[in-house]
Amino acid sequence: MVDHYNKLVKLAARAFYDDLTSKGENQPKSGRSDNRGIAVVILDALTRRQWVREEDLAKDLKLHTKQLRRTLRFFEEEKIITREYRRETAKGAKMYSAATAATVDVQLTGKEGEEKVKLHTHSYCCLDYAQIYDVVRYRIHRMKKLLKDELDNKNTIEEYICRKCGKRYNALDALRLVSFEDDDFHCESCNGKLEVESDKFVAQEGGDGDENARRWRHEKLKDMLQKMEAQLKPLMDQLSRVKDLPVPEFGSLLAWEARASAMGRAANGDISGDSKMSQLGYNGAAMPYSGDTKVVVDFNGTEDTKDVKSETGSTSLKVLPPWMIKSGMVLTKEQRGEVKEEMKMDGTSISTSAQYLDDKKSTVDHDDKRNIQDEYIKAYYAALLKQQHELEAASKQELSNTLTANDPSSSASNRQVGMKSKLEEDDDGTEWEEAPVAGTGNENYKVDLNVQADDAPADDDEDVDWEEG
Amino acid sequence: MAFQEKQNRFKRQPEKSASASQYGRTPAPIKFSNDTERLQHVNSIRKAPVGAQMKRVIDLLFETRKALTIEQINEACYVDMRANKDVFESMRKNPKVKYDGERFSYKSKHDVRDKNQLLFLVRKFPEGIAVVDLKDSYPTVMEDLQALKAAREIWLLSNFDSQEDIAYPNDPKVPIKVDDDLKQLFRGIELPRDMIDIERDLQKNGMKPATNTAKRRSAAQMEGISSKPKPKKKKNEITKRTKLTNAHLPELFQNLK
Repeated sequence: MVDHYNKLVKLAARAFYDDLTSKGENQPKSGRSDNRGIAVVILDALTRRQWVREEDLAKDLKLHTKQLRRTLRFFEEEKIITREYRRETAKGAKMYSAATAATVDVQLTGKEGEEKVKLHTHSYCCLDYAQIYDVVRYRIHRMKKLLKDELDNKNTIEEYICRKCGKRYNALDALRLVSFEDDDFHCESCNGKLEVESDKFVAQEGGDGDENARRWRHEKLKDMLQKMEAQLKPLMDQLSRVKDLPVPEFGSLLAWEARASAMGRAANGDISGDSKMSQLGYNGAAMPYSGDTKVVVDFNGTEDTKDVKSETGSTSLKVLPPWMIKSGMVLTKEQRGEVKEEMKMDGTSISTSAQYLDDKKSTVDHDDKRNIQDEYIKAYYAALLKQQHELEAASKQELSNTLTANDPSSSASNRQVGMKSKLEEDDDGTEWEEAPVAGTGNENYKVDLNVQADDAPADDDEDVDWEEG
Repeated sequence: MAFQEKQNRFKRQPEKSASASQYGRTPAPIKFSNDTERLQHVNSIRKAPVGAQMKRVIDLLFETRKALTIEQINEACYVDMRANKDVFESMRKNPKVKYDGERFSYKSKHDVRDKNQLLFLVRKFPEGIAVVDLKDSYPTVMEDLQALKAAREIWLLSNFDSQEDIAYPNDPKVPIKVDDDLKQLFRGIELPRDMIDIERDLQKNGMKPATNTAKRRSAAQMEGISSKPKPKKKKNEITKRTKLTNAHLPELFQNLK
């Protein structure tokens, strides 16, 4: 699609602008520095680009910036290109264009205390395909109309020429040129009598208005019209070819930059973006940090890949200040400042944000306390387990005793048939504490070091002195 | 070619002496003073700095555009590279010289031999190639560049700064040639300042405009850029009211408005 429009631009450039030079009108066009074709070269270069900074274009084409700008100014007046001007810092100007700035790892935000950065105006240009298409059609249509009107003698606006000084006027100027002496039109500069010049194409021949001159003029116009049809055929064909095609629109410089940088990131497969620029929002607001991914390369295939997690994923995110939070941002509750409540075992709640201590010293003390508590809990549970095992052993022993007592084969029984006998109790003096057999009771002891246990009363019969943490 | 002449002279020398002895005539003796001058000249060349000797050799290679052996170079420009190893090494390493182990030849920046190859090379550089880089390709390269320009195969533009020409290829896929009077007529049609007027005119004549200026302006306003066409500044033209310092030359001010 763009190729067809590019061909149209190239054809128009070669058809109407190939004799343009970058020199001014009043400068002599010496053979040495004859720059015919500069317009074609510049337009061709612009067909290979979209928005481009003019300094960069000049550098690429090995032309002087002044030469290039003069031609671009002409094309802007001809409505062939669009130009935009922007004040940029030197750092911003160094980048090829802001479209690539999004992928460049440069932080644009300066320090607050930094002195004001000097701004320079940079101009950018771009082909305006829609306008080119319209302007070329408009002008060709006007050319044809003009030639046909001349052929049919439909000159609505008559032209007048002064034979003395050669100055031209049209019917609109005539009002102020009327002389009150002879009711004729007189020249402003030399006061010579003006004559009607009905055809501006053959003014230089200066026909005397007789039949031959008129016929000759008619032939010349006809020839010109035919020549136009023949010579502009490739251009007309291209115009009809692009007729139904959508016109390439690059939009304004800002819009194009935003699009181009987004496309650039997508092309790199870097949607989140590694660069610092992509971590910032459109206006420089910090985007939520998603954490670095831990990559584990397992050559032997021994490591379990299921356990690969984000290193920083577990760390809580910083609370963003309200001025940084924009409507489009996806933030967690923590970042919004909505505090997550964690319940302690004793029922009191503590906020996660309150857990962060400011001083390094306090954090060190905190860590020491934690270590002592951990040691205490470990020892406590070890003792608890030991006690549990002892209870189990005791209950087993009791069971075995009762079984032996009731077993008729184990001991000689004094019972006789029809006689009541009383069971003898062992008088060994040991009193067994009633304790549930492991697995039969309702309480299951789980060893969880992360849960803080309530201080259980220490047993008197065990000579273990516990330090209070 | 100086080298060719010297070679021919060298070849002819024994023949001359033989023919002279046949006819019983002795050749005209070489004047001692002339020979001394020549030997002094040769000696001054060989005693010259390495750079000066290299320049002589490179100039010879550039002019002849032939691959020459050390002996041929010595014959032609009296630089003896067998005796002077520094010159030999420097020549071997010089980027403008090609040495194949036996012969030295001039190495241009671009390996181009004729007009077709030149055009093919220029077409490889759509952003332009400096003529300086092409100048040393072959002796008639400048004439060929001018011929290609005349044939509209390339564009030759000169840079303000360096006053050096740049050659750009002309796209052969877009052949169009329009007479100057049609160009003037096309460019002479004034465009309305506002694009909306062009759109209206096209619509009036049954052509659908591709530009939507109103839409563009609203979009630009949303972005905060004003895209209204600026009023064209009037050129400071000399009128009757202008104070003239050279009023005594009336022929300069015939066309006063």
